[in-house]
Amino acid sequence: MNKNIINIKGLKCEIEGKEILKGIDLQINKGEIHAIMGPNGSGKSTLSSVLAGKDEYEVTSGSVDYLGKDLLDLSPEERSWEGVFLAFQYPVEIPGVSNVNFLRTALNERNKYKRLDPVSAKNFLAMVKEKSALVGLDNKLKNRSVNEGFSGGEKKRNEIFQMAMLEPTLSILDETDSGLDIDALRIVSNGVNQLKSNENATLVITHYQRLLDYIVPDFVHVLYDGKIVRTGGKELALELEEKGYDWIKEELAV
Amino acid sequence: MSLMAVKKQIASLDLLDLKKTNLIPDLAKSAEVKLNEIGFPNRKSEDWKYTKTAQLFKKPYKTGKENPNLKLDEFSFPKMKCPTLVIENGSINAHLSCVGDVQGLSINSFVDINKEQVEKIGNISNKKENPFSFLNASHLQSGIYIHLKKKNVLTQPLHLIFINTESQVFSNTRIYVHLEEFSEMNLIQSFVNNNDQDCVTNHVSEIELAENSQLSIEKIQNVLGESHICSEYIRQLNSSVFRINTLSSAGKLIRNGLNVFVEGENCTSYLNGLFIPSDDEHIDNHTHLEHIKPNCFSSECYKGIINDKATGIFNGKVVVHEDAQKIMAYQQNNNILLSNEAVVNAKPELEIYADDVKCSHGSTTGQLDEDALFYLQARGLSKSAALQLLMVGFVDEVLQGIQVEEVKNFYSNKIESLLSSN
Repeated sequence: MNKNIINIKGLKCEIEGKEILKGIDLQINKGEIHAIMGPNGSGKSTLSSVLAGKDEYEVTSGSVDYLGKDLLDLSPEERSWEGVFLAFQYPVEIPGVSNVNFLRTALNERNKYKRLDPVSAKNFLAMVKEKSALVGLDNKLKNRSVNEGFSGGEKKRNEIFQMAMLEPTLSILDETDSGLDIDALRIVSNGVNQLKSNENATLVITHYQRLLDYIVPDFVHVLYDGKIVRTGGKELALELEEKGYDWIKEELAV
Repeated sequence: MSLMAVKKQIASLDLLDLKKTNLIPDLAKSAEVKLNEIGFPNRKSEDWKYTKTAQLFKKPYKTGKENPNLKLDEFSFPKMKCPTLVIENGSINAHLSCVGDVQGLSINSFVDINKEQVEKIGNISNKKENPFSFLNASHLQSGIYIHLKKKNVLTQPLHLIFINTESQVFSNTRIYVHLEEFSEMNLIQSFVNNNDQDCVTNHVSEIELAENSQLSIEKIQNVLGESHICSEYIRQLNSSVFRINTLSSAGKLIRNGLNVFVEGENCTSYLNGLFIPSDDEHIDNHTHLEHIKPNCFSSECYKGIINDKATGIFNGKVVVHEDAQKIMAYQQNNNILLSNEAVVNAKPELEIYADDVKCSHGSTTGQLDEDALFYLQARGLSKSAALQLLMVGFVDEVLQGIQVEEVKNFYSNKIESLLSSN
């Protein structure tokens, strides 16, 4: 049985002629948690945007195989329907669009794609209740406009709530810890851990080691200047935290 | 455009109804004098800078007749069973109108009103010099006087349906609405058609709100291919509440001139609007609100979605007179351009002569938020569903202000289908 979820090979991409990713190789299997760490400007967020399908980045070479499909060939919504989820670093505020209405539309569009029946109102509400409890999302927030007037912590909880609703196969968490206090960090991480199974995988992108105390990775990759320059276990994150990114830069310079 | 040329094109209009009365001709005569004095808007008229009306008078117009096969099902709100008045090609269609007997409410043609009522007509509209309103008075085809006696609160709205059923019709219609003390009602004015036809409707509403009265108007403009000059003049006395939602979804050339004179204290005024022109349509919203007395509140919110080569205009002016202390006046206009050739002219204006007031105005024009679009797509909404949701979200603020639930539902659906076809 194939355990592989995503296989990235030699991925290069650029924006407005400037190369950001300079050849990424990364393979993630079922049941694994991978963390990508790296200094500012190393290409972490670009990688997550490319995987989610943001079209301002131009992929110049390489391939991304996702469950036997060419991921780069799919539109952002098709990637979502196929089980890719990106938790945004900066979740967008959308006035006038209700959080639950939008989620119901999202679920039904996915079901339509998968030739399943639409979610019934009853099942949907039960699901909302169960999944929002997972991250302690306030009842009021569910009915408000998407992220409008939410605090930083509430936005991140809302991301994980949506992730829980969509039950993705591959979750990419882009700097989910930024803007979170210790309590919120624990709640959000707890939510992510509960969603983890042997059938799905998580890619955590972060700047700090802190988050990895809560979401414990199987593999840590260091991204620097558009390339993965080092891969190790969770202890690599601790080493980075202690020595700083300059340590990597110096080692590479040698 | 000279006045002579305008008059020539509408010379053959039959002003049938009103010849029967000997009271209205005075109104017509004085309007004619005024019109001769100020002339027709030209390029130099600041108020008409963005809307060229000369194109309306390139051909002659006629008066339409009653069409025996007219069906109005798609324009009425059957669940409400509200009193309905139908004005077809500018004349009251008695067969299709059904007003019934509503306590405290009287509805009369201008032909049948008393002298005291006749003398009110033109009093509010004359506060502003609008050539189209004078033209309306001098060529008035039919008028409706709506009077609600004091302390009557209507549970059902009154629905006026204005429809042109022939081409090349030019109709001049007018209503006068008088709400006495402590009375309340909702009024729906639907301007609709069932064919794409080249007509002009020049409509004037005069509204007099006595102390503690409340009026809400839902104004629906869905007149594909037709042109529409629509002017409202509202006079508010102490503690009255006025609310209007101008919902313009189709029209070749639409010019809304909304004039509110807040002459009492503790008044509340909500002026909201939604305009969605496409193809080469042109929708112009002019608002003019005067705070004359202290302690009042006014709020304006206009949203435009402009597609193709269409033009949308918002020109909102609030004047705060010297005595109007402690008022709050807010004005907001947001526009979304869906194509590179779409045009918006936005001009929010404030003129303040009092020193203790809270006023704000703002206008934004832009394209749909790409980040929001990507966010929704990444969560599994197809691009078209995401676009539709974003646009519905954009106009939601205006839709939520619609008072009549059935109109709100009707319009929410209408907007969704309109926006999904993009």
